[in-house]
Amino acid sequence: MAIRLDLIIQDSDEELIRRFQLGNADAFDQLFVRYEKPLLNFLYRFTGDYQLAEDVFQEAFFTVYEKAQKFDLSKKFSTWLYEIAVNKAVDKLRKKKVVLPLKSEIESIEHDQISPEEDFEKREIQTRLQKALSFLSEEHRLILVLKHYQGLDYKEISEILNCSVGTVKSRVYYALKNLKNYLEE
Amino acid sequence: LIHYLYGELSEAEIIEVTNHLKECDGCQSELESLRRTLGILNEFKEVSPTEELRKRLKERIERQRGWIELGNHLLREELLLRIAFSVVFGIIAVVTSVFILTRNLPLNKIEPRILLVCGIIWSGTYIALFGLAFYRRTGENWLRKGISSHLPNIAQHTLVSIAVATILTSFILALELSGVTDFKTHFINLFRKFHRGWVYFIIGGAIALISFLTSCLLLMRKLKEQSLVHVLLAGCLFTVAIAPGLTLFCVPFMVGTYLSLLCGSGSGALTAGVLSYWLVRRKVVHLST
Repeated sequence: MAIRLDLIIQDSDEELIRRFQLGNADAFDQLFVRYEKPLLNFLYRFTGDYQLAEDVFQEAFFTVYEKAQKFDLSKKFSTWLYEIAVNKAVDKLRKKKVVLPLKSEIESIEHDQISPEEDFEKREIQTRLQKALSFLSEEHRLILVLKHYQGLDYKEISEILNCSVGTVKSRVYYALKNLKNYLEE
Repeated sequence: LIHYLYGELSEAEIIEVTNHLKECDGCQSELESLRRTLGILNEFKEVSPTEELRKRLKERIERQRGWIELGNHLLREELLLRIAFSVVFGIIAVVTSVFILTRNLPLNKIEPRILLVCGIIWSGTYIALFGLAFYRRTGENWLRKGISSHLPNIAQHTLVSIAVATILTSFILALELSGVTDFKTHFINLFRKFHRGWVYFIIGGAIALISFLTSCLLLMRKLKEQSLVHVLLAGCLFTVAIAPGLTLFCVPFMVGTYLSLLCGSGSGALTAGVLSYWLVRRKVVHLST
């Protein structure tokens, strides 16, 4: 059976942004589809406030749209996107002085088909996790979300946060250590 | 151990940790405990963007594409500031040129072409200054990085400077003419010359078309919007900027001639604008490529 290669080989982010710079609006849409879910989840997990996450999400993508012409193609798009999102989220958190913990009553949260017992157990874990995350410092929560949920490597994180790889390593270490302690309490 | 679990260790380090784990129960239980913590982290439920959120973002982007946001865009891009800076520089260029080159000459002996050359030389200096400013601001050497990426900026500065030099030159000469000639005769002469200016009208129109295409190539990359307003705006702006300057360089200067050239330039720009709009609408060309 003939396999259509163009369906398998996806354009890289950088190729898409290059095409968008040349005026191809579809390329932006593709980037949006690719990053909408990871970015929103990142922001929700980091800020702990779904409404705030939505606001920052919108602003971050809007900034990408506006500043795309200035994007340096030798750099990685995802790093740039997260850098924008992190800066905006940190700004918003400081301005609004958001009080954690994370809100759990989000309509759009995807519910799995599970039994009531399992549901109860899962909710327990969720609540514990959200509480533990809310005890972490902003710095530690951010690094944990970037590393654990977004799956970025230390070098990428160091570029996003504009710090050394050594600092990232140490923050990841202390973030997880603290989280573990909170969960065990 | 955390970096080991996240796969952030080198090959040698992984081997070392694996061997150590085989012998150390304490580290093994610590590893298990960490694994459990990571497992709990994985329990975090995912959220998905709602249709409402997508719609809001789309609307915002659409607004950005609109005419109202263009002003804000220009301000954000510091375009107006750059143009204002170029205008000031153009004025300085002409005044200094006039002062240096013609201080011993009466005004009617001033060669417009000389002034124009001065304008261009000054523009060159201006570009060099721009390069320096860019280097100071970003720490990047734009000459090494490639001039082509900054071509739109350079073109903007040069065009605006030349335009200002041209307009000021004609203004100085118009002042001089009204001073030495009787007003009534002057206007009659102007009218007659304008009627005879059809050759220059065509020249102006042709140069306007060429300059419009050049403007498109150099500058339209910046405007992704494909609306008539933008096409006409960009076409007229840069055509009016460059066409009289180029034409002055080619033909002897006269006020009537200049008027004919301006009319020709305007018509050329308008034709080119409408033509481009038609081509874009028919998707024959893409403005931004």
